[in-house]
Amino acid sequence: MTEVVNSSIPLIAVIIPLFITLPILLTKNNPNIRDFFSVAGAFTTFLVVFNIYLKVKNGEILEFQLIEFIPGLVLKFKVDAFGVFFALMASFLWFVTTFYSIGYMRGNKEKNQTRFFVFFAISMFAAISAAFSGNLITLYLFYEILTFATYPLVAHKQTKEAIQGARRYLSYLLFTSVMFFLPALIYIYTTIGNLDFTLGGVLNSTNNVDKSVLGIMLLLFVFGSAKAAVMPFHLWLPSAMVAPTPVSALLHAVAVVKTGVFVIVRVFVYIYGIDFLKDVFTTNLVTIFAAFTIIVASMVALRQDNIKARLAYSTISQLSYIVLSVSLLSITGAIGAIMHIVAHGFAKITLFFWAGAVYVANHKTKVSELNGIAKYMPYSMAAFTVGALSMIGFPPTAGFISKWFIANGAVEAGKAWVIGILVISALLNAGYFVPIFINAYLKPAQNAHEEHLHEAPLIMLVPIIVTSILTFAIFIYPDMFLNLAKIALGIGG
Amino acid sequence: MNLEMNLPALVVVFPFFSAMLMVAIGVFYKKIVQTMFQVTALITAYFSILLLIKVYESGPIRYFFGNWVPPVGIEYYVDYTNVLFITIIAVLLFVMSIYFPNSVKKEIPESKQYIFYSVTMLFASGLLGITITGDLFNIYVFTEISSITAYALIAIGGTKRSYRASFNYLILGTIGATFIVLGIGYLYMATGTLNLLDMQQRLVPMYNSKIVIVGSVFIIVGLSMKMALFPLHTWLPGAYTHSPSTISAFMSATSTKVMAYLLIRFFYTILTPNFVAKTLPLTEVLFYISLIAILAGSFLALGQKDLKMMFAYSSIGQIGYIVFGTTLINKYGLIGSMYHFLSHAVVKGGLFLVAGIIFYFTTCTKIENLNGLFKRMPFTSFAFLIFALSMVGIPITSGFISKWYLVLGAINSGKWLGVIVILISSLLTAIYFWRIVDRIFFINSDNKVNRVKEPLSMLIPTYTLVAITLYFGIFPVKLIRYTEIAANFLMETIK
Repeated sequence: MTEVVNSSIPLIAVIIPLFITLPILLTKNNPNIRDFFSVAGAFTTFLVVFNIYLKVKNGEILEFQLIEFIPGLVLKFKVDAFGVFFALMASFLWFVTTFYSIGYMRGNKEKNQTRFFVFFAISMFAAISAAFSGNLITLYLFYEILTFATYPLVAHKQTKEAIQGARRYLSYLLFTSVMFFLPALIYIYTTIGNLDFTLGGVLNSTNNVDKSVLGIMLLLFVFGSAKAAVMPFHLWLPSAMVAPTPVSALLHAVAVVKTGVFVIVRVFVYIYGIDFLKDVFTTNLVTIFAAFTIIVASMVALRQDNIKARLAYSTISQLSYIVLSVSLLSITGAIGAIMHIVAHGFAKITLFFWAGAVYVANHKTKVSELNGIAKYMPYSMAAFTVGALSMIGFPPTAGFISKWFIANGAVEAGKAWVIGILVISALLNAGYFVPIFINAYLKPAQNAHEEHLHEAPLIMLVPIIVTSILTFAIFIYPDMFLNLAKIALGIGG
Repeated sequence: MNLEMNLPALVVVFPFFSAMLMVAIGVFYKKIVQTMFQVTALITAYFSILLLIKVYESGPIRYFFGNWVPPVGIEYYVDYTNVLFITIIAVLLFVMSIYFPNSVKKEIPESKQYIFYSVTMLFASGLLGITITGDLFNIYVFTEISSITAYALIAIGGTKRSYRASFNYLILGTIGATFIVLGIGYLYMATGTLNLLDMQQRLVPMYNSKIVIVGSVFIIVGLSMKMALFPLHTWLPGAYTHSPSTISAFMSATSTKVMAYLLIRFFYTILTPNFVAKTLPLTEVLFYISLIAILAGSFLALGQKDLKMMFAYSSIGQIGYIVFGTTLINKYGLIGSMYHFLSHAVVKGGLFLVAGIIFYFTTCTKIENLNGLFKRMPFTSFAFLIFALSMVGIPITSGFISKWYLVLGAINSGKWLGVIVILISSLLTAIYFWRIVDRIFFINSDNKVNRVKEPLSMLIPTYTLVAITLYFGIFPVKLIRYTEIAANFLMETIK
């Protein structure tokens, strides 16, 4: 029932973010007009992606060939349900984040705001292009562009600390993608000669290929896509927290890190194929690495006093949920993986928004400084509560749905021990979020002058509220994303 | 006299005689020489492109000087491979010739300028001659022309260091040339011919002859010296660093590469892979040497404090890439080598042009002085960024394509060690370039400096090279197809 249609709409969707950098640069002397272009660009991008979503929902697959890159290897967009799933989330959150960024950057009186918005748009161009990529080489291309486009955002403050963090960020991502991902990609290309994403994989067992080598390549893919932050290649993410909070929120909780897991899911489901992987021994190793990351990153998060560092380690842990559940090799597990992309996306962006709001309004960066803050920031704290509950996996929040599928997937795959991991991790999540509640709601404010505390500006508050409401909404009405996930995996929809 | 018929000769002879004329005219009208230089470069580039089109359409050309058929006469032999190299050299010379005047006025004493232009043109014609000729002794003659002019060009800077660098190169270059001429002598002794294609035929039954083996080893060693293959590289850093900016740019883009081209010629046309890979383990040995060169160049570049010095050491690594590709003895390796020839010539040439602009304004290329350069020279800084990305081999730059094919070639030959080394070296390249990118874009300068306006005559050539590296990174297919034809043609000797 799916049909492939040639269409240039995907191209339009990715051109817009690239194109608006021009008016942003030209109007750099007039911040209001400049920021208007950011908002308008994000909004039109979202509209176009939504338009694509309507088509894909009805069983179309949009294809657009860019150029023949290397003889026999074409750069192309091919938007299937999974691609539009990711693009929809990214472009919508970009729209929301733009308002928030304007509030944050102005509220903080940051320098070089034009550069910030330009590279923000370029990063989104890369992320949406990655979502639309029709084969592995195109995906790799935009993966690398994303790395470089986010570098100026991480180094934004240009202090020694920011530059060091940015360097570490770049070196981790570049090292892994060049040393692991690229050779694995070239190996697959030389053995199969086809890198197109195909449901069920391009490596059929009939091909006479050495499965042990392919197994090693699978590990290279998983670690090569270090944006997914599977341990031991996770340290870049805490380093990237030197960036302004909107960057941490959209890029290091949604666009960049999700591109990492997106790549891994693509490789598992659309290059290797779930059935084929059942004979590849290293999938178990991937499961173990992911499980290890989930637990250890949560334990590290417990000990972080800096809010953003705590959230970063929580992200590392949550990303591995996705890697873990796709490595279970069951359809339900794969649905869980895809659903967790969006569930974690909305919840984590809410948490980062909250962290940024606390910083802009009251200049607090540490958990221990939050005493009694709920009284002064009631709306932000309410949003935080929703996000944290979703992280832990409480109903009625989005996090419950994805964890439900992951647990079912584990049973389906006959790996019930994974449920144990989920439970321990939920407890640990609670362990590092509950103290924040206690500090904020129950403890009295420390000093007398704390009475100056106040709520964040409205332009930041609205995005927080929107994302937190959506975290609910996804629980109540998951069908939109769930159907896409099912179409993506070729079941029903 | 038909222009099209005589293109192979014109491409070399025209700049050669023009260079002579420049001296004669320069004595009387110094100012004209600069224009003459540019016009000559333009016409040479035009000839080379005509030649490229002709070869592409109708196949390799054998051009006999004075219609004397070899082995008696001298032959110019143009096939798919060297016409590509000729075009790159000639076009780069033209692009850079636009850049010359500003930089030359700044760096060369006025009384010597016309000589400088003339010698540069002579140097270029020497390089073109090496690439086009089909006669072994001619190769030696042109090598000497290009070397002797190079010694002069390096020394023309007039500082103590440039004399030392020039002298250093003089000694080592002469030793290298001697090796080459001895090797040629041995091969001549064995076969009685100096014509490349003729020699290829006559050598086939002699693969076990000791003279041939000794001769070819001599030649390979000589070439390694001239192309600064590690550990015979010691002349190169000084020569590139202490010569005038324009010369560093043009030399780094072409001179060592031409020697690498000769290596391809020897491996594939004269000696044939059957000999260098099977009878003698030459390719095997050079494979490992090239790996060491790649790593050593990158490591040495890491510690440099001067921009030009760093580029020079990076060139040592990059020449390793080209040699690496030729030793794989498969199609992909050759495509990678040829593509890298283009890519690296453009990028490294461009980087030296950038260094030249920086030198033009600050008279210094120390890395520590680059802080906050973006604020002062945004256009130059941006060009640097693109070149740096291409050096690292990031997709959508030409550097990615060449590395892709080198890795592909290595995997096809089952040489995983090569794959690992190439990738590690990419990362090392990333480290030593990113250090500078950080300084230029993100670290603020201590003292406030005003924005300077780079002259257009320097920006246009630089940005032409930026455009070329991006173009061949985004639309590489045509060139890949072309190099594939060239590679297949070279590989035919295997059968």
